[in-house]
Amino acid sequence: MRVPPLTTCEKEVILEALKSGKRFDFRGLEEFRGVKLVVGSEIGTAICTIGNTKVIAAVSAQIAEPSSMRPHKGVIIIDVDLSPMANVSNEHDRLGSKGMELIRLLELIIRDSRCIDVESLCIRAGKEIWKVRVDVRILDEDGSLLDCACLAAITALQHFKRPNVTLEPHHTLIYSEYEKAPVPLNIYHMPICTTIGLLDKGQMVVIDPTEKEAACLDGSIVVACNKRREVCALHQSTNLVLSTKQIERCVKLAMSRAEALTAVVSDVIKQDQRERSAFKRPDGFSITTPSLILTSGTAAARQINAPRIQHGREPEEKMLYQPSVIVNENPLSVGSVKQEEVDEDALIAEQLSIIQNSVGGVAVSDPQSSGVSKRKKEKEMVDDLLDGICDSEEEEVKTEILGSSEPMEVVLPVVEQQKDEEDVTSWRKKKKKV
Amino acid sequence: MEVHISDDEKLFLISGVEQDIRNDGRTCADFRTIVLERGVLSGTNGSCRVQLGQTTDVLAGIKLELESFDPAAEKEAKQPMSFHVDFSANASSQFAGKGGDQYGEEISAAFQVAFSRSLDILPNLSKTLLAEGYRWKINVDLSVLQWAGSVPDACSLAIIGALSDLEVPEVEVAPDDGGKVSIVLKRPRTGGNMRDEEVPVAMWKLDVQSCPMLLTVSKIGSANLVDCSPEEECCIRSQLLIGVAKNLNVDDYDITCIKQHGGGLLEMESIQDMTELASKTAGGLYQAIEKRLKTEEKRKPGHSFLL
Amino acid sequence: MSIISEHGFRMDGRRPAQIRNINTRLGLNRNAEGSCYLEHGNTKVLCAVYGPYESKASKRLEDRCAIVCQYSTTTFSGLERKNRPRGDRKSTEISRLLEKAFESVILTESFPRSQIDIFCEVIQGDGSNLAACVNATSLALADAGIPMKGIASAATCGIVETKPIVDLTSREETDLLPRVTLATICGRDEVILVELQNRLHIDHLSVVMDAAKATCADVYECLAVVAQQHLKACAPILGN
Repeated sequence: MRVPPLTTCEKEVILEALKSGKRFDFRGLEEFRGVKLVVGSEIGTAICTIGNTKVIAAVSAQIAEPSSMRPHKGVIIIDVDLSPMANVSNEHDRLGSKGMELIRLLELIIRDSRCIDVESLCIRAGKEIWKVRVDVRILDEDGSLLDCACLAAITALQHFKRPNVTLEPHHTLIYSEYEKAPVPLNIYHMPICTTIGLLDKGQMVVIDPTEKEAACLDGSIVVACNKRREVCALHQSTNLVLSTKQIERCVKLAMSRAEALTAVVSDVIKQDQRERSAFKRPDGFSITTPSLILTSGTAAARQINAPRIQHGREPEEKMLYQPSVIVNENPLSVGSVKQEEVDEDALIAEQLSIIQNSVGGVAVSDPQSSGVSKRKKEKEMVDDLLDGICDSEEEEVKTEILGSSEPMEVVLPVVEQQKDEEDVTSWRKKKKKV
Repeated sequence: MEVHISDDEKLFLISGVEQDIRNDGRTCADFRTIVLERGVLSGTNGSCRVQLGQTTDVLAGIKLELESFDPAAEKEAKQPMSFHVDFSANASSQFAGKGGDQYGEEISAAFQVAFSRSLDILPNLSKTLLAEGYRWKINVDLSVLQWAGSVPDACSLAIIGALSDLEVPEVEVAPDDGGKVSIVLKRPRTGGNMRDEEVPVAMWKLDVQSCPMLLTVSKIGSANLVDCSPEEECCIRSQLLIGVAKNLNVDDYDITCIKQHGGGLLEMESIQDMTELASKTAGGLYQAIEKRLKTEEKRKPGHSFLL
Repeated sequence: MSIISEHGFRMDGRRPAQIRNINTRLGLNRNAEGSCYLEHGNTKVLCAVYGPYESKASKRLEDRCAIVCQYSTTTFSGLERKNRPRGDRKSTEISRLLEKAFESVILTESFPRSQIDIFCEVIQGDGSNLAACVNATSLALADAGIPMKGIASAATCGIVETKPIVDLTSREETDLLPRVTLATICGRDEVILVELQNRLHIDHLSVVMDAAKATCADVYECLAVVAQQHLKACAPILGN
């Protein structure tokens, strides 16, 4: 789908604003957007957010045969998916020139700069090596795509741990995470990317441009640096006419940014490690989504203390009957609660009397009774259906109506003092149906 | 390059050809001026550049590879030569990207067929088989730099030139542990106290006297021609790629391959006439090449481009 | 073997700041509008320029000319035989860089809705392939008579122990040596192409950049002489 082009008046306004040093998100020309970095509950996953740009990266490893040219080096494969979800101009399943550029840059940063020790990924020289695969998915695009993707990929690689292996004479033993702790990858340094936009033949520098700003600029350059004050990549994104002094200036800006972001990445990884070693279940990506959802409510689970029934006859032969509701038990599962046949009528009569006595304390106000009876009907219908599915007898099915502030105290239809005979028989019928 | 000519021009051309007169003054069996230069590239084991009529330009480069193969898996002895023709985009915009792949594959396949009995034809090619399971693989790669008709002819001349320029190192084969063999370059000691690495390696050359040649013979009107220019190629009825090899025992020529290029109808007599024309032209070409290869002085590699 | 020997010479006998011999020939290709054969020592590059001609609908730009570049190497150009002459990632990346560089140099506003094709073929690659392609393309464009801001010249520079070396050969282009390919217009401080390979420490950045800029200026002098000579040789045809 074609994205409508930027209108001329929008372009002029943005350019004018940039020339006077103002931007639409109230940043300075040399100010970066805030970066949010979250690692997932699965090892080797990370989401990075810069402003509105969101990228997720996941790392996995597999054992493979090495190429004959490099028999003792592991392989790193990078895959990028630019879906129409991020930007409607992207084609599904096809990488346009933008996608190819992104893959090329990621390969440059992760593979060519040798930030990962590939020789440690060798299991058996010439026969078995680890093939590490980095999958990068772009979720949303708003400028600085390369920065975000690189950060997500680097964090995921830092977070990833591959299974531990031992070499036996005739085979390789791979341990699961429960037997031996997985081993993290050996990463020498972390290259961090910065996109720097250029305006006015390179006279002005606009850092971290958004999508709209990038469409108005003359060109942009991407610089990747690491904490060791090395430049890992100088990538020319578009055509540009610059002086060498300006290039050096851009590199210096990128360098300071790299140092700050490296600290952030290390922090996030350390915090996650702390949580995991304290056996706390990691939050994963759930903290990225705000929990304000209006369309569902929560209802507290309530446990019913069901009374014990006295057996009159043959206590040895019969099991202790406990018509308790097992909370969190799936009532739909077959054979979850097995009960024996007991004499129904006497049992029912006894139960009724007991319930009536305990229910007596509950005040059911009149205006609610109509609503209650409606709900009662619904409950009956639901109970009918559930009983039909249930195999075992005497199993009580707990049905709660969501959204109600006061869940019903009993599952059975509300029994009033003057219980109809009909009700009882209908209830009995229900039971007999099973 | 796509040449468009009008119907009147076509008529003029066809009627002239039927009277054995072509637009540039040649007869039907004449080739355009051929410039052949060997040893053009220093990075290859053998190279040759051929220019036909100052427009068609083909560069051939040969690279040797030591290949290990499983003798039990192959029924017949596999040919040690493999051919690859690539149309460079310099020749025409239409060859950018994958544009020239189809034509290039067609010509490569034709060469593969023409050279398919090369182990019998070329006398010392069997020297490439070094030991059980090891042999030299001769990769012949051609790059078409300019295109103006008659590409297969130029390619075959370039191949002959490059093969005659090729120098294969002599090796010593000695048995090694584990049933393998060790292959070491032979450096003949000529005396003196030079270090082992400084003694030049002994080389041997292929005998290309009876190397197969691929010629394009086209039919325009009722006449058969060789070496068509782009204008003539617009008027052809059909084209045959004929592979001709000199038979050393009998002073005659063997036909190693006949392939039709493009469409068109041909009668049986026409095919016979065309093969006769191909043999005759091949004879002339072989003589010319022999004379040239004998008299060529070794120049600085790559000098031909600067001329 | 170290790249710079103890006496200060490189493997082929040059000094660190010395470039290789440049040999050129223009107008080789009869079919193309402009063509150039350029040698940087053993690196041999052929460039052909077609256009400007009416572009295909998919590539048409309303206000300026579309530039399409293709970089390909012959299968026998490198040390080992390569199966695919073009289409792999590295070639596509270099093609893209050439496109971006020449979009800044060619006065594209003069030819709206047209297309200029630039095809580079590396016949023999011995280091500094991208720089050689940029130089060959500049001369081919001059041969084709396409209006430009100036002749672009390029050079590849590396750094060895704080000493910069210019015009690298393939033996010097190792995995550990950081190198920058820089292209400027007319030898001035206007950079149109910058490409970095391997990691470079920031303290060395300005050293490498200055060396590259100076080398580009030197290469430009050579290319300018070639262009002038070619023009003089063609002057009788132009009737001057």
